[in-house]
Amino acid sequence: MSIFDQVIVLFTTALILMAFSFLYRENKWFTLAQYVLIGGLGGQKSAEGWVIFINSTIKATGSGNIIGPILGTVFALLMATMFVPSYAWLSRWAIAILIGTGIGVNVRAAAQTQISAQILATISGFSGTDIFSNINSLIILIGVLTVLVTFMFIPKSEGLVKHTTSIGRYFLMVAFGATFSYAILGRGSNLISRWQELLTYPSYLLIPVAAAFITYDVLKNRKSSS
Amino acid sequence: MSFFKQQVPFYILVFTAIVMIVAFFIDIPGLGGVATELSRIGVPVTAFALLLGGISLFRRHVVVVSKQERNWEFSVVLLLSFAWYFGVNVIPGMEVIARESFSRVVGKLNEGMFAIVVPFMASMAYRAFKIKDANSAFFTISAVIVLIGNAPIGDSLSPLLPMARDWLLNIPNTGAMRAVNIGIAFGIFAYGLRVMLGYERLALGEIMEKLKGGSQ
Amino acid sequence: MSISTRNIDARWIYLAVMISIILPILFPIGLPISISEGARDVYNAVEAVPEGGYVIFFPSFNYGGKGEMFSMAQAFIKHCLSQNLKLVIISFAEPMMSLIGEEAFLSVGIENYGAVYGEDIVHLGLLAGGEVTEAGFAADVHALVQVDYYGTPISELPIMDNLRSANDIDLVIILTNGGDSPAQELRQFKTGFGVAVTGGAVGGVYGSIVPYIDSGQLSGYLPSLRGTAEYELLLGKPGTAILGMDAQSLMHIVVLIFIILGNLGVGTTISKTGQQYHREVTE
Repeated sequence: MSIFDQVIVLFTTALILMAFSFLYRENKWFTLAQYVLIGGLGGQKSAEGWVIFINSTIKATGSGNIIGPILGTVFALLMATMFVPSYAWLSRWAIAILIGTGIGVNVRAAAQTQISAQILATISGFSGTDIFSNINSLIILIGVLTVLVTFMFIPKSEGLVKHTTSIGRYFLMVAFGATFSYAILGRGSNLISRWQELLTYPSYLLIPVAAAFITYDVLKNRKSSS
Repeated sequence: MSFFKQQVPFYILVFTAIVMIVAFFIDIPGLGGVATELSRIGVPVTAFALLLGGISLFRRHVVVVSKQERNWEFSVVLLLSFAWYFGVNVIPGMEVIARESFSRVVGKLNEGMFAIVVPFMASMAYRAFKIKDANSAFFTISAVIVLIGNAPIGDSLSPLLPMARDWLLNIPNTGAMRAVNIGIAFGIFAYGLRVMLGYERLALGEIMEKLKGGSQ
Repeated sequence: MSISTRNIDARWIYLAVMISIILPILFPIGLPISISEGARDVYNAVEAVPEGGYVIFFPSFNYGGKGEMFSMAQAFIKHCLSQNLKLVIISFAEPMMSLIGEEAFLSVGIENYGAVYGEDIVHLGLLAGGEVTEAGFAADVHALVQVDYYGTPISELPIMDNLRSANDIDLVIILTNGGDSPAQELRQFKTGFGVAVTGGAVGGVYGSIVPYIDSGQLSGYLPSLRGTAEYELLLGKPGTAILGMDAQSLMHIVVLIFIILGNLGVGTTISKTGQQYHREVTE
């Protein structure tokens, strides 16, 4: 690893340890890392947006079809008028295209993908012979029906509806518990991959430095409180 | 003038939505091409929106620095970071520097920021996963079974643990989440219909109210 | 009954979690991992694609999810290239996803699989626009894509010659961070064109995707790092996912211990009147 690479690694390690310092308490080093991140992400995203805009308009005219690139350029520039108060109404035309096409593609296949296929899967799970499979399918069916009732009748819960929504909530609690555990698995992976890098050379050289900073702060706070 | 400010955006919205829906179901000559062109227009518009978002961020922090508002020193750092990453990406010939500087610095920092959620989740588990009633019992027991089932140590302790995890995920969780997904789909329909009939304000704002004479 | 009158400062919990991750990294244990049916379904979905078939690969996760999804992306790329499939990498959501896609195939080393860029694999970058652009891509690829990620016209890339629409695609692999995926890929590719869809998701959204696996709309789906570790075992190409599973084990045990402590009332205190109430964990 060259000296330059080691400097970059140490710089990144310092930023990550600044981010981790938030676990001890909120401090200016964490804020510094936060602002570096926001600036970096903002710059990267807007630059890539610019590059894609050029690729999909000016460079795209080479393919022969110019209607799409020209209209795309026009509507994109209309969106920029939102910064000029007297002409900001023009940006609504561009936003209207995005919303209209978005609604169109969402709605057109949602019925088949998310409604009919799911309902079919719920009721077709019952087979003639396997008792355990039928019990499982029955549990799924009860879960689907009770949770749907829960969403529809949350404000008014009396009698049979109240018991149905109670069962629906139990199913939801099971689902949320499983989701939480999977979230720990997932986010834990991020933390593990960070530590796998922090424990390699030259990153681990900064860990005692970070520990020294925190120890100093702990002792300083103890002194000032006593 | 109010026609162009108020009614034209609404007609654009309805026209594009109808074209996208009809082109999917009915094979009308030429309509498929129109739908594809509408999709094509979305690319530069969305890309330009990304650029405008960055410009807004930049403008805001320039104001903070010029007026020396709270944390203005950090805003200087933000602007420098923004300028670097914007510059290396748009200046020709610096693609390798752009890729390397992002993936080796800001990319790893981004991962680190998301990673600090885990200790908070552990602390939350200690405080909130208490069995006090039936709801919390279902929640906690489900979380514990999936936790143990996911860890390789669960495989070593008993083959029943991963099986229990799979059963929880494939049966009761499927029942609940299937209902959630169906509800989301109905919501997509309802919202799309409301927008196309003019019952939603959205970013087109007061246009809808004026078109309907102020009623909703 | 008094169990403990000590309050657990949350920072001790944070430290315990950190130590539970650091120790297995420094002293690996090598616990065995069982392979689930879900991982086998995903493996079989890729195996079912005929040689030379087109696979569209969406690395739809940003750097926040890289820790749990990057090894999954590498595993899928390795599998597709070793099967001599034509791999098309593209993103429709965020700019950083195209950076990650590039990092993934560069880190795999496509030359190790005899693959040539432009003939066996191509990176088309980001087509901003989300599901709307996906719909256009599925209908007419060449109308939406003019250049690849590096600015090369697609007319100069042989891999793009026979990819005109979703009818030419054999498999869609979507690695998702959340949002509306993979529902939108199912809407645009599976429902519209009958293309098989598989992939993986971050842990937090996997539970909501299971109904699509159960209904058969998805040809299997991998959950986060655990799914990737199983997939790597099936491939016979151990990667970084397996290395992290020991740390996952110990971290999960620590979280479980804290759940048990919380339920046993450790950290509670009895007042003078004998009423029991929970003290908030102090910072």
